[in-house]
This record gives sequence, C-alpha cells and structure tokens, in this order.
Amino acid sequence: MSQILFYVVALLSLGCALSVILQRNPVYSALSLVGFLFLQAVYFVILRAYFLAVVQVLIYAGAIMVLFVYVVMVMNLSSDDLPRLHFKPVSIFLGGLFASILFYLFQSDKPITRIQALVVENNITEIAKLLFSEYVLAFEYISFLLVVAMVGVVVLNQRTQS
Amino acid sequence: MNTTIMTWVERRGSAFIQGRIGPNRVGPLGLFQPIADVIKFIMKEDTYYPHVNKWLFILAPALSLIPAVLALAAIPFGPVIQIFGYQTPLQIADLHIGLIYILAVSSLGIYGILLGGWASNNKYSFLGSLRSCAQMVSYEIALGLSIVGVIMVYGSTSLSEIVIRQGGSFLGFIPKWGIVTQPLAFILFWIAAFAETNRLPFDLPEGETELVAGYHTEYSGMKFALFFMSEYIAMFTMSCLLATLFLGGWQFPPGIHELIYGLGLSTNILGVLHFLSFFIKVCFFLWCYVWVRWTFPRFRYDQMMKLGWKVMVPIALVNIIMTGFGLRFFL
Amino acid sequence: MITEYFILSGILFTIGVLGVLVRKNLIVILMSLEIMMASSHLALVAAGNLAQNLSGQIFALFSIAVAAAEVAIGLALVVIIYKKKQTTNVDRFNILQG
Repeated sequence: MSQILFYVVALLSLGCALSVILQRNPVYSALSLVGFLFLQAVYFVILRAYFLAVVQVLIYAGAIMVLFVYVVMVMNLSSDDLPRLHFKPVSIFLGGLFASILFYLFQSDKPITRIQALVVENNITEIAKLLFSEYVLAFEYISFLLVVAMVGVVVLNQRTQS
Repeated sequence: MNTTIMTWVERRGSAFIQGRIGPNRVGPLGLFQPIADVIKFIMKEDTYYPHVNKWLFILAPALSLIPAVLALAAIPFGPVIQIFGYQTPLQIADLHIGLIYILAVSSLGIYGILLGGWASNNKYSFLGSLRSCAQMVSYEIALGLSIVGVIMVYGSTSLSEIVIRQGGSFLGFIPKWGIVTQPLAFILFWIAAFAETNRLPFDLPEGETELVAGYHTEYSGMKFALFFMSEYIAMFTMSCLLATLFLGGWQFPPGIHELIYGLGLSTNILGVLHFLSFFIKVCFFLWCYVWVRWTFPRFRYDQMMKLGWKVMVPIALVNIIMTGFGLRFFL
Repeated sequence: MITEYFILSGILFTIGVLGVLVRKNLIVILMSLEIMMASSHLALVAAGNLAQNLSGQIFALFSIAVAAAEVAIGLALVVIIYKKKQTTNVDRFNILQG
C-alpha cells in the first residue's frame, strides 16, 4: 500500500520539480514548488515522521512559499523578458557529471533493507527530549541564526528606503 | 450546513443589532433564505473575463475551500461513544499533533486568496489579496505563539488529550479550562482568530470602501460561493479551536458535571450531552463574530500591522516566559 | 524500499542543480535551491528511518530552519537588486566586472 503510494507520489513530485525549472512564468514555477513541497510532506508521512510532515507544511508551504509567491506576484515579471532555457555546453556537462556521480554512488552501494516503522508512534515528545538534551547547542545556534537573519532582512530593506 | 445557518444568523443578527428586520420572507423567520441563496448561486451564470488567468481563476476557490475543510478533521466534537459495540471518538482523526496540524493546514488557505487576487488581473483584487496575505502571515505568528502557552500547561499537542486534561476543577468550582490557566493567551488567540479569518475589525482584504470587494471582486456564481463558504468554515474551525483550547471542549462546567454524572446515564447519552456542551460554546464564539462585525469599525492597515507585530507578538512571548516560570515554581 | 528514497532524492537534487545551471531568472534559481534543500531533507529522513532513530528527523528540522533563514535573506536581496536594476536576469548583474 505505502509502496504504491510512494511511486504515485514520486511521479507527481518529479513532475512538479521539472515543472519548477521548465515553466516560463515564475508564478507557475512557484506554484509547482508549492505542490512539490506539499508532496514532500506526504513522503514524511509514509516514513512515519509525522511531526516533520506537519512542520514541512507549516513552514515551507505555509510561510516560505507564501513569501516566494508574494515576491513573484509583486514584481509582476512578465514571462517574456527572460529566455526559457539557455543550454550552454558547460551547464550540460556539469549536470551530466553530477548525475553520473550520483548514479555511480547508488550503483556501488548494496541494496538496503526494507522500510520499517519506527517503534515510537508519538514521536513529538521523543523529538523534544532529543532537541533539548543532545542537540541543545545546535538548537541555540539555529535560534541565533534565525535572529541574525531577521535583523539582516530588516536592515537590508531599510537601507534602500532611505 | 454550518455555512447556511451562519449566513442566516449573520443577516438576522446584523438586522437585530441595527434595529432592522432582516430577510424574513422565505420560510418561518426567513430560515430558508440560505437555501434560496444557494439556488441563486447555482443558477447564476459563471462569468469569465477575457483578462483573467483562466486556470488559476478556477483553481483558486477550490484551493481556499479544501484546507478549510481539512482543518475540521482534527477537531474533537465529543468524547468516545459506542456505536454497535465499537468505541468511536466523536472526532474524524485523533492526531497526536492535531494542534499543529490545524495551524499548518489553515495556513495553506492563503494560496486560494492570493491566487484568486492575482488571477483576476484586477488591481483591487490584487491589492486585497496582497493585504490578506501579509495579514494572515503576520497574525499566524501571534496565533502560534499564543498556543505555545496552552501546550505547555496541558503538556500535549493532541486536541482530545488537551480536552481530557481540562476536566476537573480548582477548589471545586473554578474549571481547569484554558481561559483560567491562560487568560492572556485566550485574548491573543481570539484577536488573532479574527485576523486569520479576515473578519471585521480586520477585514481590510475586502474593505468595501477602499477595494470594491477585495480578492473576490471578479468572482460570481458558484465560485464566489466557494470563497464565501471557506470563510465561514474557517470561522467555524476557529470557534471550535477557541472552545477546545480555552473553554474545555466538550467538558461540562464543574457544577453541572457532577450533576449530570450523578444521574448515571449511559455512555452514548453522555456523549450527546457532551457534544451539546461543545456546540453551545462554539455557538457563543460564532455569535461573537457577528456581534463584533457590527460593533467595531475597521482598522487602518498600518494600525493593524503595528498591533500584530509590536503588541501581540511581544505579549505572546512574555506569556510563554511567564507560563514557564509559573510551571516551574507553582506546580 | 529505502533505496528508492535515496535514488529519488538524488534525482530531485539533480533537477535542482540543473535548474540553477539552466535558468536565468534569479527567483527561479532560488526555487531550484529549495528543491535541492528539500531533496536532502528527504534523504535525511530516509536515513533516519534506516538507522531507526530520530536523529535524521532532527537534522531535517534544523535544515528546514536554515532554509527558512536562507529564503528570507535571499528574497530580501532579490528585491533590492530588482529595485536597482529592474530585472531579475542574472546576466545583467555584472557590476563586479567593472
């Protein structure tokens, strides 16, 4: 059941990802990206990472992508002023190189065991315990990073106004 | 269902407050007026304009309705009852992350409004949708932060769990409800709920005096009805959340609780009574929506943003810190 | 089953890399970065599932926070550049070439 779901969602999300980079109009790209990130949450549900799935929807689809769509719409970029794709030999070469490296890595690994449910079903308490014991330093760093980012954004946009 | 009744309540209620009669022609007390409205919506021609972006124009109302309905799935309407020998909770999905789930899903409702405004290709619609987007994102932060205090006090993110832990009382007569343990969070959440559902006094996205009708200016017929329904369902969800988090959900008030449990009723009848108790609380909040709408004037946009960022977010943060100290030293 | 997740995340990452290389619109390039980020989250969670502990999910959680900060700053920069240059075509941003 979850296997069929996985393949369906995988196809859909590949389609969304391709549509992000192939659409001419940035608004459509942004919307495809919303769909892609929402499908990402479905993967997390299949992998039993329920908390992460909800956080993914809340932060990515609910906040980050709203920013993207907002900015794209406010700028009102007409789709014609930018060429669709520009295939330079170097970009094709780099992309191909990257794909072949990934392919090689996957080839060299042995097939990995099947998916198993994590034993903890209510994993939000477990995540909280880990977050505030083992990873508390990283947690503080992240909050510091977010504060710095927030201040940075405010300062950046103030300078242009004055 | 709830939308149809709410439209009736809203129109009659507004008439009551303004000393008018309101729609009273269709059926007794005008109760069938919503049905007449629905028939009108369906029969009306769906208009398109050459300048709209057709696909997104059709997609947007659906995108605003689906999250609103999805959010309802995690609301506990009552305790566990027995149907044909099965234990069935009066809740569609009892998620252990129900609270965050509702926040996440309702934050997706922005896309419907944003796309509707953009696809209409009309400056009033677009301005309305941009305003609504900025407003909902800002007030979502206050909403989320005010909930943190409740989660800290009751120690769970599952809505049914939170309701169960609100049972019992202090000193025998003060209920252990969220409104008692987290009064500040209650007020913040209530204000933010008004802003989240784009209702007065925060209905700047559709301020008639400035923006014609905001993001749904270009919509007509059934597509407009979808926007309309999603707004009312969002109101209903927010009222349910308010009742669940701060008024004890389906719990009875302390005195009545002992009275009813003293009668020795069966589980199912108790379940129905619990549901009624929840329903009365929700109706109270829904009535407040109508009440406030016809009582308060609209905010100016900068005032609203200032209220959200400079007043509500700091108070919510202070509330979290105070709750932390309270839990540390008094429990 | 887990292998498929890694392969999928690899393919998605490649799509993201291609997007960065092939597109000229600065905003779409930022979106491609998001695809790369998201695919790496998928790999992290899958690896956490394989190892049967929650570390993968916690790393992904941190990574999502970093992505949020990155997008906020990135979009602020894009808006400033757009105000100055009236375009988001990366080929026009050659101010350092003198």
